[in-house]
Amino acid sequence: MPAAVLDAPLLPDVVEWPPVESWAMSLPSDRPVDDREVGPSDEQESPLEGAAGDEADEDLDHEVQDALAEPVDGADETDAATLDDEADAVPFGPAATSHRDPSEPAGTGPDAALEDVAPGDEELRELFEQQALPFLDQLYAAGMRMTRNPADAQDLVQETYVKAFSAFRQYQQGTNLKAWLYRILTNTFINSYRKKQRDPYKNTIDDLEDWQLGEAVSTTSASRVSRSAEAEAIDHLPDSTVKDALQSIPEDFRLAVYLADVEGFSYQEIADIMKTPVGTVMSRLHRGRRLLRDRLTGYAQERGIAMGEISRRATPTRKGAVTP
Amino acid sequence: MTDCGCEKAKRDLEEYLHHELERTEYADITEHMAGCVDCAEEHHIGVVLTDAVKRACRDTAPEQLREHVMVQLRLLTRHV
Repeated sequence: MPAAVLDAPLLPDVVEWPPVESWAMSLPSDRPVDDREVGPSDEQESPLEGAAGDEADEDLDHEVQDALAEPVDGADETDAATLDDEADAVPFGPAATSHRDPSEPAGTGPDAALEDVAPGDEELRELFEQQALPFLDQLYAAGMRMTRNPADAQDLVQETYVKAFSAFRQYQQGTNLKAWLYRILTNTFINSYRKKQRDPYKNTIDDLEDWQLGEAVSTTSASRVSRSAEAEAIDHLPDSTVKDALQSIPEDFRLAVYLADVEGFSYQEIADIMKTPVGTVMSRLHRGRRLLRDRLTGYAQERGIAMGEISRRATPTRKGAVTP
Repeated sequence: MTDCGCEKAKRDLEEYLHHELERTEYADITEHMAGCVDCAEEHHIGVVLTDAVKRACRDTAPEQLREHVMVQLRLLTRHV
């Protein structure tokens, strides 16, 4: 991607807001300050809305959160109420009902949308299926990285779709649907699955030093072999090994790596999805990739893949480098 | 020669890889790597690592998941 696109604004040009008054609830605007405005955008998706920081944005943000926190009928079993304890666990920013299908019955305002998905919403469902279902494989793959097992991943993804559909009226057409879905997925995972897993690193992982993660950066295996040998070795590792290595690194690091390297989200988008500052995203990404690289290089060395021969060739004067 | 030097290049390689640098910085590092094997190889590892992760993470959702999701959505639409 050319660097030129990085200057693109995060806000779409046209944002039609419904009157704030119609969104009755007067919740406090306590959304944490973030740095959405300063981050670069990404060319592959529509720009994120939600950078406005205006009042309408914040009020609507809470509305979407409420819509998500109250599962509609039929979704009870999804335990969606767990969103309550993350006050700002909201998909991206505002949504304008004015962008909805014009064939929709008049009087089906936002309030009605909060109550339930209104009858006669076949069109809405069709639109949702058409737009959101193509992300099923990707969301499932992400769910696999999060939960680490197929059954939980399926439950997680299903729950994500139910929540997303329930809040779909608040989703603003033309904004980044993929990022919105990922944010719901991530929220759902954090709020229900991670609690079950009782990850001992939760909330502290960013503070741990590298050596506490079992890595000694200054003496990485990588530093002992030539870089070209290391690259070749990593390139030849089987997918299962790479997957295992990815599963072995701390969850927040793994997720950052996944979102950046597999999904191609920008740092700012990842910050929005993970609800952390961009600086934290960069740190997680850096440390995650570093851990991953060390482990992959370690696996390759253990298995004698390429590395030995090539490193001997590359560093012929070192101890133990005697060629047979 | 306005080479940004290895120190800066190495520090920014990850942002370079993720296309998070501004145009001029991006160009500086590209230029530096053209003449610096060490940094170019370091960057290459980054690219290979990213590709390896991408390759490894190509999961396909089970068909039953798609069906379950669609059933759920229909239930939500019908429930009033």
